[in-house]
Amino acid sequence: MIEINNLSFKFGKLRIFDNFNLEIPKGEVVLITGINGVGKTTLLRLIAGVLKPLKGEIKFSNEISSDPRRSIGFISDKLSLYESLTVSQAIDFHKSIYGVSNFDDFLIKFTKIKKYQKLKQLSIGQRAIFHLSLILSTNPKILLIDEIIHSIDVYLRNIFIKELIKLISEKMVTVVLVNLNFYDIENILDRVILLKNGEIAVNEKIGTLKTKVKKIISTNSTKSLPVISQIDYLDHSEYFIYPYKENYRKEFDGEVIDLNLTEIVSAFIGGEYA
Amino acid sequence: MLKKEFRDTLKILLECSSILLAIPLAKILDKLFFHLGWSFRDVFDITFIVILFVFSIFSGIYIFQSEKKDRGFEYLLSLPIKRSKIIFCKIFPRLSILLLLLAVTIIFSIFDTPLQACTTVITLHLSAVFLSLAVDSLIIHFTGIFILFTLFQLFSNFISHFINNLEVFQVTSTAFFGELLSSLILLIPLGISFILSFKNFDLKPLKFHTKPYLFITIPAIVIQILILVLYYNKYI
Repeated sequence: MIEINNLSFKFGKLRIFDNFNLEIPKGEVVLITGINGVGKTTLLRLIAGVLKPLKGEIKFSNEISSDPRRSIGFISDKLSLYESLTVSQAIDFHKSIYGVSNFDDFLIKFTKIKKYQKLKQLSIGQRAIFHLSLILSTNPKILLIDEIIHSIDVYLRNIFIKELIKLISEKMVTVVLVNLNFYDIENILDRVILLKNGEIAVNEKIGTLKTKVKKIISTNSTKSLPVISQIDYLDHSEYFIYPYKENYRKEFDGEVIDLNLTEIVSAFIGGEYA
Repeated sequence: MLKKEFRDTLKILLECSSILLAIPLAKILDKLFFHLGWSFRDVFDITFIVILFVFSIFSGIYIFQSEKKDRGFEYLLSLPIKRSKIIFCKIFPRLSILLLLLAVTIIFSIFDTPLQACTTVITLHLSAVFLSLAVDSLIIHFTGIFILFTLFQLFSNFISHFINNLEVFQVTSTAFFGELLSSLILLIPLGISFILSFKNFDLKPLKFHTKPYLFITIPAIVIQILILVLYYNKYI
Protein backbone atom coordinates (compact mmCIF):
# COMPACT_ATOMS: atom_id res chain seq x y z
CA MET A 1 0.00 0.00 0.00
CA ILE A 2 1.12 3.54 -0.73
CA GLU A 3 -0.05 6.25 1.63
CA ILE A 4 0.62 9.88 0.84
CA ASN A 5 -0.01 12.29 3.72
CA ASN A 6 -0.08 16.09 3.54
CA LEU A 7 2.37 16.16 0.71
CA SER A 8 3.56 19.55 -0.50
CA PHE A 9 5.88 20.11 -3.39
CA LYS A 10 6.95 23.02 -5.54
CA PHE A 11 9.39 23.91 -8.28
CA GLY A 12 10.75 27.26 -7.15
CA LYS A 13 7.66 29.41 -6.74
CA LEU A 14 5.43 27.10 -8.73
CA ARG A 15 3.41 25.05 -6.26
CA ILE A 16 2.42 21.65 -7.61
CA PHE A 17 0.94 19.98 -4.50
CA ASP A 18 -0.26 21.47 -1.26
CA ASN A 19 -1.34 19.10 1.51
CA PHE A 20 -2.02 16.37 -0.99
CA ASN A 21 -3.36 13.05 0.33
CA LEU A 22 -3.79 9.74 -1.45
CA GLU A 23 -4.02 6.05 -0.64
CA ILE A 24 -3.31 3.33 -3.14
CA PRO A 25 -4.27 -0.14 -1.88
CA LYS A 26 -1.91 -3.07 -2.36
CA GLY A 27 -2.29 -4.97 -5.61
CA GLU A 28 -4.34 -2.30 -7.37
CA VAL A 29 -3.61 -1.06 -10.86
CA VAL A 30 -4.11 2.67 -10.78
CA LEU A 31 -4.17 5.15 -13.59
CA ILE A 32 -3.20 8.73 -12.80
CA THR A 33 -4.34 11.17 -15.39
CA GLY A 34 -5.11 14.84 -15.93
CA ILE A 35 -4.16 17.70 -18.19
CA ASN A 36 -0.55 18.42 -19.09
CA GLY A 37 1.40 20.07 -16.28
CA VAL A 38 -1.00 19.04 -13.53
CA GLY A 39 1.67 17.04 -11.70
CA LYS A 40 1.17 13.42 -12.80
CA THR A 41 4.83 12.78 -13.54
CA THR A 42 5.87 14.76 -10.46
CA LEU A 43 3.64 12.57 -8.29
CA LEU A 44 5.15 9.42 -9.76
CA ARG A 45 8.68 10.79 -9.24
CA LEU A 46 7.84 11.64 -5.63
CA ILE A 47 6.63 8.09 -5.03
CA ALA A 48 9.74 6.73 -6.78
CA GLY A 49 11.97 8.83 -4.54
CA VAL A 50 13.66 10.74 -7.33
CA LEU A 51 12.01 13.94 -6.12
CA LYS A 52 11.90 14.89 -2.45
CA PRO A 53 8.74 16.39 -0.97
CA LEU A 54 8.85 19.82 0.58
CA LYS A 55 6.50 18.66 3.33
CA GLY A 56 4.53 15.56 4.18
CA GLU A 57 5.38 11.91 3.81
CA ILE A 58 4.96 8.95 1.56
CA LYS A 59 4.53 5.72 3.50
CA PHE A 60 4.67 2.20 2.21
CA SER A 61 3.35 -1.03 3.71
CA ASN A 62 5.48 -2.87 6.24
CA GLU A 63 6.62 -5.57 3.83
CA ILE A 64 8.61 -2.92 2.00
CA SER A 65 12.17 -2.52 3.27
CA SER A 66 13.60 0.57 4.94
CA ASP A 67 14.72 1.94 1.57
CA PRO A 68 11.47 1.74 -0.44
CA ARG A 69 13.38 2.19 -3.68
CA ARG A 70 14.52 -1.41 -3.30
CA SER A 71 10.92 -2.52 -3.80
CA ILE A 72 9.92 0.04 -6.41
CA GLY A 73 10.39 -0.37 -10.14
CA PHE A 74 10.23 2.94 -11.93
CA ILE A 75 10.08 3.35 -15.69
CA SER A 76 10.28 7.06 -16.42
CA ASP A 77 8.87 8.78 -19.47
CA LYS A 78 12.42 9.45 -20.62
CA LEU A 79 13.36 5.79 -20.12
CA SER A 80 16.28 6.99 -18.06
CA LEU A 81 19.18 4.52 -18.03
CA TYR A 82 22.89 4.94 -18.63
CA GLU A 83 22.78 5.17 -22.40
CA SER A 84 26.48 4.71 -22.99
CA LEU A 85 26.48 1.29 -21.32
CA THR A 86 25.99 -1.86 -23.33
CA VAL A 87 23.03 -4.11 -22.56
CA SER A 88 25.22 -6.57 -20.71
CA GLN A 89 27.00 -3.80 -18.73
CA ALA A 90 23.64 -2.30 -17.78
CA ILE A 91 22.44 -5.72 -16.57
CA ASP A 92 25.58 -6.19 -14.47
CA PHE A 93 25.27 -2.67 -13.06
CA HIS A 94 21.61 -3.16 -12.10
CA LYS A 95 22.30 -6.59 -10.58
CA SER A 96 25.19 -5.24 -8.53
CA ILE A 97 23.10 -2.40 -7.10
CA TYR A 98 20.24 -4.71 -6.07
CA GLY A 99 22.54 -7.56 -5.13
CA VAL A 100 20.69 -10.09 -7.29
CA SER A 101 22.47 -12.90 -9.04
CA ASN A 102 19.93 -13.88 -11.68
CA PHE A 103 18.70 -12.05 -14.68
CA ASP A 104 16.04 -13.72 -16.78
CA ASP A 105 16.48 -12.52 -20.34
CA PHE A 106 13.36 -14.22 -21.71
CA LEU A 107 11.68 -10.85 -22.36
CA ILE A 108 14.52 -9.27 -24.25
CA LYS A 109 14.67 -12.30 -26.54
CA PHE A 110 11.44 -11.04 -28.10
CA THR A 111 13.01 -7.70 -28.91
CA LYS A 112 16.04 -8.77 -30.94
CA ILE A 113 18.30 -6.90 -28.53
CA LYS A 114 21.94 -7.98 -28.67
CA LYS A 115 23.85 -7.89 -25.40
CA TYR A 116 26.77 -6.00 -26.95
CA GLN A 117 24.51 -3.17 -28.17
CA LYS A 118 24.73 0.16 -26.43
CA LEU A 119 21.50 1.31 -24.84
CA LYS A 120 21.45 4.46 -26.94
CA GLN A 121 21.23 2.26 -30.04
CA LEU A 122 18.00 0.65 -28.87
CA SER A 123 14.58 1.82 -30.01
CA ILE A 124 12.08 3.20 -27.48
CA GLY A 125 10.19 -0.08 -27.45
CA GLN A 126 13.32 -2.15 -26.97
CA ARG A 127 14.47 0.10 -24.14
CA ALA A 128 11.08 -0.07 -22.45
CA ILE A 129 11.09 -3.87 -22.57
CA PHE A 130 14.70 -3.95 -21.44
CA HIS A 131 13.96 -1.62 -18.53
CA LEU A 132 11.00 -3.80 -17.56
CA SER A 133 13.28 -6.86 -17.65
CA LEU A 134 15.74 -5.14 -15.32
CA ILE A 135 12.94 -4.27 -12.92
CA LEU A 136 11.46 -7.78 -13.00
CA SER A 137 14.82 -9.22 -11.99
CA THR A 138 14.55 -7.40 -8.66
CA ASN A 139 11.02 -8.61 -7.77
CA PRO A 140 9.39 -5.21 -7.22
CA LYS A 141 6.30 -4.81 -5.07
CA ILE A 142 5.38 -1.51 -6.67
CA LEU A 143 5.70 -0.67 -10.32
CA LEU A 144 5.55 2.92 -11.55
CA ILE A 145 5.25 3.50 -15.28
CA ASP A 146 5.23 6.97 -16.73
CA GLU A 147 3.64 7.61 -20.10
CA ILE A 148 5.66 5.13 -22.07
CA ILE A 149 3.31 2.36 -23.08
CA HIS A 150 1.92 4.11 -26.11
CA SER A 151 5.31 5.07 -27.47
CA ILE A 152 6.00 1.38 -28.01
CA ASP A 153 5.07 -0.37 -31.24
CA VAL A 154 2.05 -2.68 -31.21
CA TYR A 155 4.04 -5.92 -31.04
CA LEU A 156 6.27 -4.85 -28.16
CA ARG A 157 3.35 -3.11 -26.42
CA ASN A 158 1.45 -6.41 -26.33
CA ILE A 159 4.48 -8.12 -24.80
CA PHE A 160 4.81 -5.31 -22.29
CA ILE A 161 1.15 -5.41 -21.28
CA LYS A 162 1.07 -9.23 -21.12
CA GLU A 163 4.01 -9.11 -18.75
CA LEU A 164 2.24 -6.50 -16.64
CA ILE A 165 -0.86 -8.67 -16.41
CA LYS A 166 1.28 -11.65 -15.35
CA LEU A 167 2.98 -9.55 -12.72
CA ILE A 168 -0.30 -8.24 -11.33
CA SER A 169 -2.06 -11.59 -11.23
CA GLU A 170 0.84 -13.71 -9.95
CA LYS A 171 2.65 -11.37 -7.59
CA MET A 172 -0.01 -8.88 -6.48
CA VAL A 173 2.21 -6.01 -7.53
CA THR A 174 0.78 -2.52 -7.12
CA VAL A 175 1.00 -0.72 -10.44
CA VAL A 176 0.69 3.03 -10.88
CA LEU A 177 0.46 4.22 -14.45
CA VAL A 178 0.53 7.72 -15.81
CA ASN A 179 -1.05 7.80 -19.23
CA LEU A 180 -3.06 9.95 -21.55
CA ASN A 181 -4.01 7.11 -23.85
CA PHE A 182 -6.06 4.32 -22.34
CA TYR A 183 -7.12 2.10 -25.21
CA ASP A 184 -4.83 -0.85 -24.50
CA ILE A 185 -4.67 -0.62 -20.75
CA GLU A 186 -8.34 -0.07 -19.92
CA ASN A 187 -8.90 -3.75 -19.16
CA ILE A 188 -6.12 -4.02 -16.61
CA LEU A 189 -7.03 -0.93 -14.60
CA ASP A 190 -8.72 -1.05 -11.20
CA ARG A 191 -8.87 2.64 -10.39
CA VAL A 192 -8.66 6.02 -12.06
CA ILE A 193 -7.33 9.10 -10.34
CA LEU A 194 -7.78 12.42 -12.08
CA LEU A 195 -5.67 15.31 -10.87
CA LYS A 196 -6.84 18.89 -11.12
CA ASN A 197 -4.97 21.93 -9.79
CA GLY A 198 -2.77 19.76 -7.58
CA GLU A 199 -5.74 17.97 -6.02
CA ILE A 200 -7.68 14.80 -6.68
CA ALA A 201 -10.74 15.62 -8.77
CA VAL A 202 -11.77 12.00 -9.28
CA ASN A 203 -10.71 8.87 -7.45
CA GLU A 204 -12.98 6.00 -8.46
CA LYS A 205 -12.89 2.30 -9.15
CA ILE A 206 -13.17 1.90 -12.88
CA GLY A 207 -16.54 0.11 -12.74
CA THR A 208 -18.00 2.80 -10.49
CA LEU A 209 -16.63 5.54 -12.68
CA LYS A 210 -18.32 4.05 -15.73
CA THR A 211 -21.68 4.07 -13.96
CA LYS A 212 -21.18 7.60 -12.69
CA VAL A 213 -20.10 9.33 -15.89
CA LYS A 214 -22.66 9.47 -18.70
CA LYS A 215 -23.16 11.37 -21.88
CA ILE A 216 -26.54 12.98 -22.45
CA ILE A 217 -27.56 14.02 -25.91
CA SER A 218 -30.29 16.59 -25.56
CA THR A 219 -31.84 19.55 -27.28
CA ASN A 220 -32.76 21.35 -24.07
CA SER A 221 -30.41 22.78 -21.46
CA THR A 222 -29.31 20.63 -18.50
CA LYS A 223 -27.96 23.45 -16.36
CA SER A 224 -29.21 21.91 -13.11
CA LEU A 225 -27.11 18.78 -13.69
CA PRO A 226 -23.43 18.40 -12.73
CA VAL A 227 -22.01 18.89 -16.22
CA ILE A 228 -18.25 18.40 -16.46
CA SER A 229 -18.04 19.40 -20.11
CA GLN A 230 -20.24 19.85 -23.12
CA ILE A 231 -20.05 19.90 -26.89
CA ASP A 232 -22.56 22.04 -28.77
CA TYR A 233 -23.85 21.17 -32.22
CA LEU A 234 -26.31 23.11 -34.39
CA ASP A 235 -29.41 21.23 -33.30
CA HIS A 236 -28.36 19.52 -30.07
CA SER A 237 -25.70 19.38 -27.38
CA GLU A 238 -23.74 16.60 -25.72
CA TYR A 239 -23.43 16.92 -21.95
CA PHE A 240 -21.00 14.87 -19.91
CA ILE A 241 -22.39 14.38 -16.43
CA TYR A 242 -20.56 13.38 -13.25
CA PRO A 243 -21.80 12.03 -10.93
CA TYR A 244 -24.79 10.79 -12.88
CA LYS A 245 -27.91 9.65 -11.01
CA GLU A 246 -30.90 7.81 -12.42
CA ASN A 247 -33.40 10.45 -11.21
CA TYR A 248 -31.75 13.01 -13.53
CA ARG A 249 -33.73 11.48 -16.38
CA LYS A 250 -36.75 13.58 -15.42
CA GLU A 251 -34.83 16.79 -16.03
CA PHE A 252 -34.13 16.53 -19.75
CA ASP A 253 -35.33 15.07 -23.01
CA GLY A 254 -32.75 12.98 -24.71
CA GLU A 255 -30.68 9.91 -24.65
CA VAL A 256 -28.16 8.68 -22.04
CA ILE A 257 -25.05 7.01 -23.38
CA ASP A 258 -22.44 4.89 -21.59
CA LEU A 259 -18.82 5.86 -22.11
CA ASN A 260 -15.54 4.02 -22.31
CA LEU A 261 -12.55 5.17 -20.29
CA THR A 262 -11.00 7.22 -23.07
CA GLU A 263 -14.26 9.13 -23.51
CA ILE A 264 -14.66 9.62 -19.77
CA VAL A 265 -11.19 11.04 -19.30
CA SER A 266 -11.54 13.15 -22.47
CA ALA A 267 -14.72 14.61 -20.97
CA PHE A 268 -12.97 15.54 -17.74
CA ILE A 269 -9.94 16.96 -19.52
CA GLY A 270 -12.13 18.77 -22.08
CA GLY A 271 -13.99 20.35 -19.18
CA GLU A 272 -10.78 21.77 -17.80
CA TYR A 273 -9.91 23.47 -21.05
CA ALA A 274 -13.44 24.82 -21.60
CA MET B 1 28.84 1.05 -9.22
CA LEU B 2 32.54 1.39 -8.44
CA LYS B 3 33.34 -0.61 -11.56
CA LYS B 4 31.34 1.77 -13.72
CA GLU B 5 32.92 4.81 -12.11
CA PHE B 6 36.42 3.40 -12.62
CA ARG B 7 35.51 2.81 -16.27
CA ASP B 8 34.24 6.40 -16.61
CA THR B 9 37.36 7.78 -14.90
CA LEU B 10 39.66 5.78 -17.15
CA LYS B 11 37.74 7.12 -20.14
CA ILE B 12 38.46 10.68 -18.95
CA LEU B 13 42.11 9.76 -18.38
CA LEU B 14 42.28 8.35 -21.90
CA GLU B 15 40.81 11.56 -23.32
CA CYS B 16 43.29 13.64 -21.31
CA SER B 17 46.13 11.38 -22.42
CA SER B 18 45.60 12.53 -25.97
CA ILE B 19 47.73 15.49 -24.84
CA LEU B 20 50.69 13.06 -25.02
CA LEU B 21 50.51 13.52 -28.76
CA ALA B 22 52.06 16.90 -28.09
CA ILE B 23 55.39 15.19 -27.30
CA PRO B 24 56.35 14.13 -30.85
CA LEU B 25 54.75 17.32 -32.16
CA ALA B 26 56.86 19.50 -29.87
CA LYS B 27 60.00 17.58 -30.82
CA ILE B 28 59.30 18.03 -34.53
CA LEU B 29 58.47 21.73 -34.10
CA ASP B 30 61.65 22.24 -32.10
CA LYS B 31 63.76 20.51 -34.73
CA LEU B 32 62.17 22.43 -37.61
CA PHE B 33 61.54 25.91 -36.20
CA PHE B 34 62.49 26.67 -32.59
CA HIS B 35 65.91 24.98 -32.31
CA LEU B 36 65.81 25.17 -28.49
CA GLY B 37 67.21 21.70 -28.07
CA TRP B 38 64.32 20.33 -26.06
CA SER B 39 65.04 16.87 -24.77
CA PHE B 40 62.40 14.17 -24.70
CA ARG B 41 62.39 14.42 -20.90
CA ASP B 42 61.76 18.20 -20.96
CA VAL B 43 58.76 17.83 -23.22
CA PHE B 44 57.45 14.79 -21.36
CA ASP B 45 57.62 16.56 -18.00
CA ILE B 46 55.65 19.57 -19.22
CA THR B 47 53.12 17.38 -21.03
CA PHE B 48 52.64 15.20 -17.98
CA ILE B 49 52.08 18.22 -15.76
CA VAL B 50 49.47 19.50 -18.22
CA ILE B 51 47.77 16.07 -18.26
CA LEU B 52 47.81 15.98 -14.48
CA PHE B 53 46.15 19.39 -14.14
CA VAL B 54 43.66 18.84 -16.97
CA PHE B 55 42.70 15.43 -15.57
CA SER B 56 42.31 16.75 -12.03
CA ILE B 57 39.92 19.48 -13.24
CA PHE B 58 38.03 17.43 -15.82
CA SER B 59 37.52 14.37 -13.66
CA GLY B 60 36.26 16.65 -10.88
CA ILE B 61 33.94 18.86 -12.87
CA TYR B 62 32.52 15.95 -14.85
CA ILE B 63 31.83 13.82 -11.81
CA PHE B 64 28.19 13.60 -12.90
CA GLN B 65 29.02 13.63 -16.58
CA SER B 66 27.61 10.18 -17.32
CA GLU B 67 24.35 11.07 -15.60
CA LYS B 68 24.04 14.30 -17.58
CA LYS B 69 25.20 12.93 -20.92
CA ASP B 70 23.42 9.59 -20.62
CA ARG B 71 20.24 11.06 -19.14
CA GLY B 72 20.82 8.70 -16.22
CA PHE B 73 20.09 11.00 -13.26
CA GLU B 74 16.51 9.80 -12.91
CA TYR B 75 17.67 6.18 -13.02
CA LEU B 76 20.48 6.77 -10.51
CA LEU B 77 18.17 8.51 -8.04
CA SER B 78 15.58 5.74 -8.34
CA LEU B 79 18.14 3.11 -7.32
CA PRO B 80 18.44 2.07 -3.67
CA ILE B 81 21.83 3.68 -3.13
CA LYS B 82 22.57 6.04 -0.26
CA ARG B 83 23.79 9.49 -1.21
CA SER B 84 26.97 8.98 0.81
CA LYS B 85 27.71 5.83 -1.18
CA ILE B 86 27.15 7.66 -4.45
CA ILE B 87 29.64 10.35 -3.40
CA PHE B 88 32.16 7.71 -2.30
CA CYS B 89 31.77 5.73 -5.54
CA LYS B 90 32.23 8.90 -7.54
CA ILE B 91 35.23 10.33 -5.69
CA PHE B 92 37.19 7.17 -4.86
CA PRO B 93 38.10 6.07 -8.42
CA ARG B 94 38.94 9.63 -9.50
CA LEU B 95 41.12 10.29 -6.50
CA SER B 96 42.82 6.87 -6.80
CA ILE B 97 43.84 7.49 -10.39
CA LEU B 98 44.91 11.03 -9.54
CA LEU B 99 47.11 9.71 -6.73
CA LEU B 100 48.56 7.17 -9.14
CA LEU B 101 49.46 9.99 -11.52
CA LEU B 102 50.96 11.94 -8.64
CA ALA B 103 53.01 8.88 -7.70
CA VAL B 104 54.38 8.86 -11.25
CA THR B 105 55.43 12.50 -10.88
CA ILE B 106 57.24 11.64 -7.65
CA ILE B 107 58.96 8.60 -9.16
CA PHE B 108 60.15 10.62 -12.17
CA SER B 109 60.92 13.68 -10.00
CA ILE B 110 58.83 15.88 -12.27
CA PHE B 111 58.16 18.45 -9.58
CA ASP B 112 60.85 20.13 -7.49
CA THR B 113 58.55 20.20 -4.49
CA PRO B 114 56.35 17.13 -4.89
CA LEU B 115 54.39 17.59 -1.65
CA GLN B 116 53.34 21.10 -2.59
CA ALA B 117 52.45 19.98 -6.09
CA CYS B 118 50.34 17.14 -4.69
CA THR B 119 48.49 19.55 -2.41
CA THR B 120 47.82 21.91 -5.31
CA VAL B 121 46.58 19.18 -7.65
CA ILE B 122 44.37 17.51 -5.05
CA THR B 123 42.95 20.89 -3.99
CA LEU B 124 42.22 21.66 -7.62
CA HIS B 125 40.55 18.29 -8.10
CA LEU B 126 38.43 18.48 -4.96
CA SER B 127 37.45 22.08 -5.76
CA ALA B 128 36.28 20.88 -9.17
CA VAL B 129 34.33 18.01 -7.57
CA PHE B 130 32.73 20.33 -5.03
CA LEU B 131 31.85 22.82 -7.73
CA SER B 132 30.31 20.18 -9.96
CA LEU B 133 26.81 20.75 -8.56
CA ALA B 134 27.01 24.53 -8.55
CA VAL B 135 28.15 24.97 -12.09
CA ASP B 136 25.72 25.44 -14.95
CA SER B 137 23.39 27.36 -12.70
CA LEU B 138 25.74 29.59 -10.71
CA ILE B 139 29.05 29.86 -12.45
CA ILE B 140 30.77 28.66 -15.57
CA HIS B 141 33.04 25.68 -14.90
CA PHE B 142 36.40 27.08 -15.80
CA THR B 143 35.79 30.57 -14.45
CA GLY B 144 35.02 29.00 -11.08
CA ILE B 145 38.11 26.80 -11.16
CA PHE B 146 40.30 29.70 -12.31
CA ILE B 147 39.04 31.99 -9.52
CA LEU B 148 39.53 29.29 -6.90
CA PHE B 149 42.99 28.39 -8.17
CA THR B 150 44.11 32.02 -8.11
CA LEU B 151 42.61 32.50 -4.69
CA PHE B 152 44.29 29.34 -3.44
CA GLN B 153 47.71 30.47 -4.70
CA LEU B 154 47.31 33.95 -3.23
CA PHE B 155 46.10 32.60 0.07
CA SER B 156 48.88 30.06 0.20
CA ASN B 157 51.42 32.81 -0.42
CA PHE B 158 49.77 35.00 2.19
CA ILE B 159 49.58 32.29 4.85
CA SER B 160 53.20 31.24 4.30
CA HIS B 161 54.38 34.81 4.85
CA PHE B 162 52.01 35.25 7.73
CA ILE B 163 53.48 32.18 9.44
CA ASN B 164 57.00 33.45 8.82
CA ASN B 165 56.11 36.82 10.31
CA LEU B 166 54.62 35.24 13.39
CA GLU B 167 57.94 33.57 14.18
CA VAL B 168 56.16 31.32 16.61
CA PHE B 169 56.21 28.08 14.65
CA GLN B 170 59.48 26.57 13.70
CA VAL B 171 58.08 25.06 10.55
CA THR B 172 60.76 24.01 8.15
CA SER B 173 58.51 24.21 5.11
CA THR B 174 56.23 27.18 5.66
CA ALA B 175 55.31 27.23 1.97
CA PHE B 176 53.92 23.72 2.16
CA PHE B 177 52.22 24.41 5.45
CA GLY B 178 50.68 27.52 3.87
CA GLU B 179 49.36 25.50 0.95
CA LEU B 180 47.91 22.89 3.22
CA LEU B 181 46.16 25.48 5.34
CA SER B 182 44.84 27.44 2.38
CA SER B 183 43.56 24.16 0.85
CA LEU B 184 41.56 23.53 3.98
CA ILE B 185 40.26 27.09 4.18
CA LEU B 186 39.10 26.83 0.58
CA LEU B 187 37.83 23.27 0.58
CA ILE B 188 35.88 23.31 3.83
CA PRO B 189 33.12 25.75 2.73
CA LEU B 190 33.09 24.20 -0.74
CA GLY B 191 32.85 20.68 0.68
CA ILE B 192 30.08 21.61 3.12
CA SER B 193 28.11 23.24 0.29
CA PHE B 194 28.59 20.19 -1.91
CA ILE B 195 27.51 17.74 0.78
CA LEU B 196 24.48 19.80 1.78
CA SER B 197 23.44 20.22 -1.84
CA PHE B 198 23.86 16.57 -2.64
CA LYS B 199 22.13 15.44 0.54
CA ASN B 200 18.93 17.10 -0.63
CA PHE B 201 19.59 16.49 -4.27
CA ASP B 202 16.73 15.29 -6.46
CA LEU B 203 15.57 15.61 -10.03
CA LYS B 204 14.70 19.28 -9.75
CA PRO B 205 16.83 21.53 -11.98
CA LEU B 206 20.27 22.21 -10.49
CA LYS B 207 19.49 25.85 -9.74
CA PHE B 208 17.14 24.67 -6.98
CA HIS B 209 20.02 22.92 -5.21
CA THR B 210 22.56 25.68 -5.05
CA LYS B 211 21.42 27.51 -1.93
CA PRO B 212 24.31 26.17 0.21
CA TYR B 213 26.75 27.57 -2.35
CA LEU B 214 25.01 30.93 -2.22
CA PHE B 215 24.92 31.06 1.55
CA ILE B 216 28.16 29.30 2.48
CA THR B 217 30.70 29.22 -0.34
CA ILE B 218 30.22 32.67 -1.80
CA PRO B 219 30.31 34.53 1.58
CA ALA B 220 33.34 32.43 2.65
CA ILE B 221 35.19 33.27 -0.56
CA VAL B 222 34.24 36.95 -0.31
CA ILE B 223 35.66 37.03 3.25
CA GLN B 224 38.87 35.37 2.02
CA ILE B 225 39.22 37.92 -0.77
CA LEU B 226 38.62 40.75 1.71
CA ILE B 227 41.31 39.39 4.04
CA LEU B 228 43.71 39.18 1.13
CA VAL B 229 42.92 42.69 -0.04
CA LEU B 230 43.26 44.18 3.44
CA TYR B 231 46.31 42.32 4.74
CA TYR B 232 48.25 41.08 1.71
CA ASN B 233 50.62 44.05 1.62
CA LYS B 234 51.12 44.01 5.35
CA TYR B 235 52.61 40.51 5.42
CA ILE B 236 54.14 40.23 1.97
